[in-house]
Amino acid sequence: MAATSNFPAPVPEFGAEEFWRGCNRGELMMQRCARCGKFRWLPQPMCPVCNSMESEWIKVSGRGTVYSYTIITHPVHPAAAGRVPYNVAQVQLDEDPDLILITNLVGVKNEDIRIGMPVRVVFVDHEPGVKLAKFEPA
Amino acid sequence: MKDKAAIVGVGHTEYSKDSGRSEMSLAVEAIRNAISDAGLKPSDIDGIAKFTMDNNDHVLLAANLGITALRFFAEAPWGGGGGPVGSVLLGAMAVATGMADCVVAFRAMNERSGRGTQRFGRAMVREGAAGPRAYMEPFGLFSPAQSVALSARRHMHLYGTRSEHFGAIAVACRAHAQTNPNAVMRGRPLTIQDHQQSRMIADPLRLHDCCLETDGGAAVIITSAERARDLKQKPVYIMAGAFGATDRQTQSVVKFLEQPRSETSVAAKDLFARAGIAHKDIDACFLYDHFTPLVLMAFEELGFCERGEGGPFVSDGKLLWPNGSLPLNTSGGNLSEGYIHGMQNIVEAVRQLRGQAINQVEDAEIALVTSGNAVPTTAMILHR
Repeated sequence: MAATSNFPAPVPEFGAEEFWRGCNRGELMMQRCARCGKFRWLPQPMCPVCNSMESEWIKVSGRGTVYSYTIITHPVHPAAAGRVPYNVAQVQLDEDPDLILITNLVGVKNEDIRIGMPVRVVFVDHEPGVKLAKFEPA
Repeated sequence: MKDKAAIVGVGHTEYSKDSGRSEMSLAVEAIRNAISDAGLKPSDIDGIAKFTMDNNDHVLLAANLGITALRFFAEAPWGGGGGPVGSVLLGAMAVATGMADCVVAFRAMNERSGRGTQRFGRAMVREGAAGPRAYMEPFGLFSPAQSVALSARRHMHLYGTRSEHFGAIAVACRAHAQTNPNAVMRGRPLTIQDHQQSRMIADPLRLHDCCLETDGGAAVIITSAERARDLKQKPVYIMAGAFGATDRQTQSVVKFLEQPRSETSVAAKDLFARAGIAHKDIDACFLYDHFTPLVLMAFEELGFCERGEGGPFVSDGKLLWPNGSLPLNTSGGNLSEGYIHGMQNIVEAVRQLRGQAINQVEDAEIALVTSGNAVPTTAMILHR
């Protein structure tokens, strides 16, 4: 697919592959410290709280609330031209207030989006073989 | 480092939408003008502190300027965030420790025309989104304005901040540009109504909440306080400087307002302690104005008001020269003079403290200058 016709696909970084694999099989996976149990986002090799290098990937509920959002009307990427206006949101997951993901909200009109609205994860095809975690009203 | 270094020369080029020349040419002209302003010769310069992202290389610059012995070279990272004040502070530390005698700090770019530098208001078209971008760009979040919109919306939600509050900052900077012959927006005054009617870029950010994109260069010369006293201009002393970042800046310019500290508050704490002054002692402020909501939040994080009070704080006229008590960006700033990544604000702060500004603040003694909020940042307090 030409780089100008879709937003770029994620390049899974070393240590974060399980997040992206989870998206592709329909599970929202978050990294949690195997010692102190603190969730963290973005993925990183060491727990910033207890400094353990051991972590595990936990399937979370996929439920959260809208932390903030914007409606983008000025396209800055070639693939945005046919999509404006579109929303980009931050969703705060129920499991930990520090888990705030950047995403898109689906199944809701842009004008009906509100901070604090409850949402749940859905996995949406981005390109063949790549799904992204988006959220819809719960 | 208090008062051990001083800014002794300032210079800049024309600010335009298309310079029609190389970024090296812009850098050399801005630096040449700053050297001349200081009453120095290019061979007096022995240090160069640049923005990491500036395309002009230390050694090529030295060759262009005729610097035969370059004794100090350094870079301030984080673009417009760490860059403008950061590069000056690197120079100040170098002269204060004897690593160099005269350091130039500068920024030169063809950011608007794209002759060498990619426009920040346009997305880089890449095949894939790597690193932290993997969690943003696939969802269509590319530009700084779009990220700032998320934080602005959250601020509005938490504290009742309104778009008109953001607009007050744009209006003040635009008003100051009207008397500045070098300002890109001279001759185009702006009212709050104009701001409210300007088109939406990324709701709640409107066009006039976003800085310009500009071709141009600006430079300052830093030397020791001792040497500064013998030079052509009245020295402007670097009273204090500080750097600041937190662990929450992994995703570009997205801020988390409920965190107990921000990059700007980390820097501010050190800055005022090192300077030994209070906020009320500041006669004029030069806040990095990339986006109006981040200026509003910077006033809060710098400690001028509490978190959440930024809206009313910026909207009572205090930022407007000549009657306001805390004039902001008196030459127009990134929003209305030219977007030279805040370096032009440093040039203006020096003019104010020398008494050479067009919109001269009466008896200006102390100025606050910041780099970009919402990215790892730097700040300094200057005095005459």
